[in-house]
Amino acid sequence: MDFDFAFMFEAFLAALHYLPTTLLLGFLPLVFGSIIGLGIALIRHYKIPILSVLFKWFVTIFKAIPVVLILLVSYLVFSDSVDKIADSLSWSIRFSDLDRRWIAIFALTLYATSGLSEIFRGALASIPKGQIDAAYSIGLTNIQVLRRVMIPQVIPLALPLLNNTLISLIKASSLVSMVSVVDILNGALIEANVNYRYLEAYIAVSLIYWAVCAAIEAVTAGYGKYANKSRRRQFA
Amino acid sequence: MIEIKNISKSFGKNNILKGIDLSINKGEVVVILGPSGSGKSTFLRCLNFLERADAGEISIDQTKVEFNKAKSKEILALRRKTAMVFQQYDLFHHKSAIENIVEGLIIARKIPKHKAYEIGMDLLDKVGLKEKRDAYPHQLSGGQQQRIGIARALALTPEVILFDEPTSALDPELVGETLDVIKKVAQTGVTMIIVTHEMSFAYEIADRVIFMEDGVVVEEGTPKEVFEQTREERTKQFLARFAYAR
Ligand SMILES: Nc1ncnc2c1ncn2[C@@H]1O[C@H](COP(=O)(O)OP(=O)(O)OP(=O)(O)O)[C@@H](O)[C@H]1O
Ligand SMILES: [Mg+2]
Repeated sequence: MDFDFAFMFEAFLAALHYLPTTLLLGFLPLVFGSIIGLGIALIRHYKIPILSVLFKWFVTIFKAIPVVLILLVSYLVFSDSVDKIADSLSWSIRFSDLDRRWIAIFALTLYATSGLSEIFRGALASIPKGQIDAAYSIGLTNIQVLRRVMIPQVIPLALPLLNNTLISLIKASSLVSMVSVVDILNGALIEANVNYRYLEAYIAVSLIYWAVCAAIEAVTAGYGKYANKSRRRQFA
Repeated sequence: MIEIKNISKSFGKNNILKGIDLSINKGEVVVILGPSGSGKSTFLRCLNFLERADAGEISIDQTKVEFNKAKSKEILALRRKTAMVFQQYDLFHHKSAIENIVEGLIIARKIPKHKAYEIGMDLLDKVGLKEKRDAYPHQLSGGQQQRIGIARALALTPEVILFDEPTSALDPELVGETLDVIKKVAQTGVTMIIVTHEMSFAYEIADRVIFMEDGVVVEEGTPKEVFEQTREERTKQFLARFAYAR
């Protein structure tokens, strides 16, 4: 078997061109999912009636659905409803004009949210109850307790755990060709379609995924060291 | 003047507080004694609504609040007249010593920052921890943490400070310094309710001692009356357990 290093490099460059898309598909769902996930975690932490039960089911269900299915169903729902909704609101937007990446971001957000909400829920639960009592005892309101005591301790606790989610998202983003988004994988495959040198293309892309994930791990490790050094939050 | 009437609290079927009355004069130091599980912590926690009592009322300085009916505004107002010192100190872990002290002033009381920090530094001095201004809780010993906890309570110049076993989580050699700070604060005329198992400290600091068991006040009087001229059999039994420790 001959392995064409030159073509691998070519595919590598072609794929690299789409790195921003892959990063976008990793980071945006992480950010959106974290915001929504924190909201869900708070609703469940405070046991807000109806909503907390609703989101409990949301989390249970979405934890069990493969990301491919979320992606495909989102695509079908969007393709079916965007034109209708746009018509009824007399917007000029068409489904065919829509950047497909938004569908991917939507689906990946849905995929990440349940796990993220569990991370934040765990972090919320690990704040010592006594500190919250103390915060109320000095006369803070519910919102102030949340903003001044809980959130500032939840974020640093959750942050290092987000790297796993980000890595899952980056890897899951390789499926977006199913909704015709070109990411690094798809970009390399387009190159290989010409000469059928798929192995070279796959390996080239693997290298990029590996480098991205290694970078994420390095940043996390650096943060962990920083957090340990400043040791601002230790839960005795 | 603080007046507490008929405070009752159950957890499920367990009736923990069975109608406790207590009135406290300004500047008075009341020590509550009682066996484990008698409801001492629950009593203190009900006073500032960390637990919601089922019945009873409290008035501090003409403001009367019924425990079971209080709205969040009244609860907040009441909490701003009280402060609490906790057994486990419960400092905010993500804040330095001084930040712990000024938090309530700046956020709850809306006092300007520089003013709050001035007050905070004075209090750090008072509890003997001026040099620990920027230390985080995990960098402080238990005794130091508790002294910061006391400063945090004092900062709010509350009508009454509630102490729930302030030294029972401390190593024996750190108890003394913490009790000394509490004594010093008591001398400045701050009204206090203190739950403690430190009998000689109770004897020394209390204007009035209350012995509580099973959610009721069994006996009440000056330290001399309760410790030396004990009337109730149950109090005698309880105190006998500490006879050697004294
Ligand atoms: N949140 C709660 N839910 C259910 N039961 C509780 C709760 N808090 C306290 N209790 C119960 O109420 C009773 C009184 O507890 P409390 O903490 O007031 O006692 P205490 O006098 O402070 O005891 P100790 O000296 O051990 O601190 C105990 O039997 C305890 O189990
Ligand atoms: Mg207790």
